[in-house]
Amino acid sequence: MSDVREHAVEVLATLGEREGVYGACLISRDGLPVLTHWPHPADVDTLAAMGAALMGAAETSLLEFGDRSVETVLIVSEGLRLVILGVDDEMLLLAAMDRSLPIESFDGDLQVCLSRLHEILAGA
Amino acid sequence: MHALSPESRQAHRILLVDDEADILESLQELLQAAIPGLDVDVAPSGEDALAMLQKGAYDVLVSDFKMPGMNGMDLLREARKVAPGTPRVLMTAFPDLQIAIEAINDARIENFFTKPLDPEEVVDVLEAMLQHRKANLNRDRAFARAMDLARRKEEP
Repeated sequence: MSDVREHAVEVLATLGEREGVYGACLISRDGLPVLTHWPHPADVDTLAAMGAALMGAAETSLLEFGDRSVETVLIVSEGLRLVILGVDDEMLLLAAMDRSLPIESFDGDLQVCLSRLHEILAGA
Repeated sequence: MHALSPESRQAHRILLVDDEADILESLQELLQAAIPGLDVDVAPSGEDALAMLQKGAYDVLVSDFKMPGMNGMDLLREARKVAPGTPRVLMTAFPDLQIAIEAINDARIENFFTKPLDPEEVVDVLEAMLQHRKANLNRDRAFARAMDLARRKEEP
């Protein structure tokens, strides 16, 4: 169990320490922070609750089209991007980054992080 | 439960209602084998089921239609009052349009099984209902937490 946590935190740190990335965390779909690597000052409890609520709102919206399989929620502001991705049916990955960071280069890292988290959690 | 779950989650619970003991038993065995972590309770009558619903929360209620005493339709109508958040399913060996209309309009069922049951269909439908229910509960908890935090941040 502690190995699982350590590995997952390492994965989050790899993502969270990239230049321009404010942090990354694993949150439960009901809005609690589970594992965090968030060097930038931020209230992770708020991010987790709001992130899970945003994913829930996205799922409920898409249900109007008969589809609940939301993979990604992306919020873009003047200065940053907040990304929420589904890891499995219990967990979400949330990351925030500077908007100046090229999304193309970050997207690859996000997918690698997601896939590694998926493997770690599936083997847990 | 997830290895990293921040709080322990209860297993899913289904309540099966049928006056035929052999059907109840085989359905209970089928579901417990097919859906890991599922608790399956059984009740031999509508009256018993209603008492169980009043005592504990269930994720899905599945009832036969034709039973002595309180029939399945009456049970599901009452269940809608007692446990409005619990999705309801009706099973019947005598499907007809009037039953289906009543079940949808009055008892607000989410699904309808015809007997003889198709085990694969029953498992697929109930699994999907449980996933849907879990997603709804997670969303509602996340909304509640988010609203609570937002209110607290607004407080001076």
